[in-house]
Amino acid sequence: MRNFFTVLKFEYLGMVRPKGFLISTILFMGILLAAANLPLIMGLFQGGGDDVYAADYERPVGVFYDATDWYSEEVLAVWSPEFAWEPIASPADIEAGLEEGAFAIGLVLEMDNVRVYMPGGDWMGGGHFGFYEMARSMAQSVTLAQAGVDEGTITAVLATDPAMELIIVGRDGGQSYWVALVFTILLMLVVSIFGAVVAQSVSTEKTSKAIELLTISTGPNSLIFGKVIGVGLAAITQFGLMLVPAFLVIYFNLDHWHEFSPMVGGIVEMVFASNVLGLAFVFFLLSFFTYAFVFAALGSTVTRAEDLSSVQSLPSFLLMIAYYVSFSALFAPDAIHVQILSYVPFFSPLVMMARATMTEVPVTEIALSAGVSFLYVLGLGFLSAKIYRVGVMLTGNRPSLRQIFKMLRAG
Amino acid sequence: MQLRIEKLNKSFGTKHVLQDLSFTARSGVAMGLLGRNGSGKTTTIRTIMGIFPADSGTSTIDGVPTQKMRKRIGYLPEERGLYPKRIIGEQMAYIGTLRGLKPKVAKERAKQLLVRLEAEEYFDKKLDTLSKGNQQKIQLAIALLTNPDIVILDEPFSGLDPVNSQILKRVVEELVAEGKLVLFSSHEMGYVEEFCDDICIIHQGQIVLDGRLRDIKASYPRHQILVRPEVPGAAELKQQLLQSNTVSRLAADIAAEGQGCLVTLHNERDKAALFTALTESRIAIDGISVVEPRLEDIFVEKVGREVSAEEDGGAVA
Repeated sequence: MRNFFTVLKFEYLGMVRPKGFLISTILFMGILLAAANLPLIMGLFQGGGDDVYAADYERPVGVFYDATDWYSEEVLAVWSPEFAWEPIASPADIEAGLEEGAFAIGLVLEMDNVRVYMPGGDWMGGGHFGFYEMARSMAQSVTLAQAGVDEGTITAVLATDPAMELIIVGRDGGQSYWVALVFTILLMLVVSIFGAVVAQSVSTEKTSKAIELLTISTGPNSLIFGKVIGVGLAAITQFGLMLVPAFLVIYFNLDHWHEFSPMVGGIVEMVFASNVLGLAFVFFLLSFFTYAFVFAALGSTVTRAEDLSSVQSLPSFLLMIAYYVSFSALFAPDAIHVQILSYVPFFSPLVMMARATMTEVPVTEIALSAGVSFLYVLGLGFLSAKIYRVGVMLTGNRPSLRQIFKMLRAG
Repeated sequence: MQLRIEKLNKSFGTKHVLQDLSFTARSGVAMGLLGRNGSGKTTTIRTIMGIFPADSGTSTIDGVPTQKMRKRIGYLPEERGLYPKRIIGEQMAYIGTLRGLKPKVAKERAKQLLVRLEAEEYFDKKLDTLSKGNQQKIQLAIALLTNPDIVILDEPFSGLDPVNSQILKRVVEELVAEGKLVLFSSHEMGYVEEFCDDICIIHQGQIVLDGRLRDIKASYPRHQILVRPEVPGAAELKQQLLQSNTVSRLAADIAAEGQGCLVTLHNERDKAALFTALTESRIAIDGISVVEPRLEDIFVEKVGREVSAEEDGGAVA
């Protein structure tokens, strides 16, 4: 046990001490903290209030051609105050004026039609829907006036604005989808990056010939478990340092986030209010160790550094399948293949994570899936140690799986 | 303390690498494990260290299997290597701790050993910044970290420059003087001859010769006498020896050898007669000595003969 902790400490410090680790952690921590403060940062750039906006902001010019005689600069300023509106005598020059940049938007307003001309770069803005609303209201009020309705009644009718409230019973699918997607991608990223680190670390011991000295100094179980858990702790340290401050900032600025983006605010609230974080942590550990032990075992069969990438393809392929299955669980969490694979090792941590986030899965089922995975991880760890032990004897060309099993049987 | 290897067998696939290998090594004595490339030296050592399991046979230290005594054995592997990107002091402390030392003690001991090996400036350096020879010194220091009773060095001199070889030689001599059991494999006969009391020659996984080097040498005929003249000149000395009737009668051959002459007697019992004849002659002689066979000659004779026989057999087959 003492040697296990010695290996763990050595591997952990070997991971977290290099400058590269520190720099990348601080860099990503800064980026995520900036993202977490997005509403505040954007507030700063917007200058902090409508008064300043009105006084200081130089508005782009918008032109309109009125074929109805209903509109004026004042009416347009009410509906779209972000532009300084100017009437034009003919709609013919709107396209050319936009291309030249003489104005930012052009409207042709007719009785039963409104045409909005926008520069190509603004096609995703969505602001043009406001003009449709303006034209509809204007047509309605003219129609009502022509029918003899007085102005006060018309204003009251148009001002009618019933509130709508959406009540979602059970888990909010939209929020769950984003939470599950983000956590699945994060899990996949961490497992593949740090799994490869484990394989690299083991193969370096093999190719640098340190493995011979190590195997006479301590048992393979200490070496493999210490190494894998050490790298796992380094992964938790790095992602913890990057994510926790950002999460805390978002959590303590939840009101701003709700204002800035109700969807993001809702997602963050869901993460903190539900058991998603706990689930993600447990399934991160299970998936990391499942794959890390496989990466470690395969890394020890490598005799040349250039062979490493080829042995990594098998676990990477399995991880990719697990990712796609968990992705399908986001759309159909109760599909039969999702339910089955949420108990099958190699797939279960990712798939059950996605499934449990998307829908209500009984605790017993989650515990069963985690339990099966845990036992599998344990078995895999001991098998990986045995392969590592045999790996010291493997030299020359990369052995086939058959040769490895033969050597394992021989002891 | 006694390291006893008995009837060790090891095969890799169809290749029988070690065949009933048996030998014994003692404390306070350096034993040289000799053999050609691929003869089974490293496999023997790895089997002793428990890196490979033996197919059959035993390897014990005072009756206890060597695998259970690994922490009392200092080991310098043939294929040397550590972590290229890690600090040397850190790595040494790591291995020392794995081998049973407390971390602080391991670090202190690492520093002391680096001083002893004249490599103290490398303590805070990364391994890959060192030359191959200096990396080897670090590995030797690691082998000695736990102050082991038994030190097994696999090809310790390969890759060392003459200065580092002298340092290693001094360390090995100190270890032997401290009463440690030192076993090392090599095919550099000069070093083995210099400080090994016992030798064991392995050829094709079998022992072809083992025992005390002194006894082995004594078992060879002592019928060659080196005669050194007072005034350098091997050719003149040869002439003078051939002109002596007694010397000519006793000698089967007289050959110039360096600055002197090598007289090969018909019979080694004639040594005294030769010494008398030389003393009574008017030849100005500086020294007379019996020529012992060199280890290299013994090695070539033992292993080379086997090879020749194999080659002959192979040709017939």
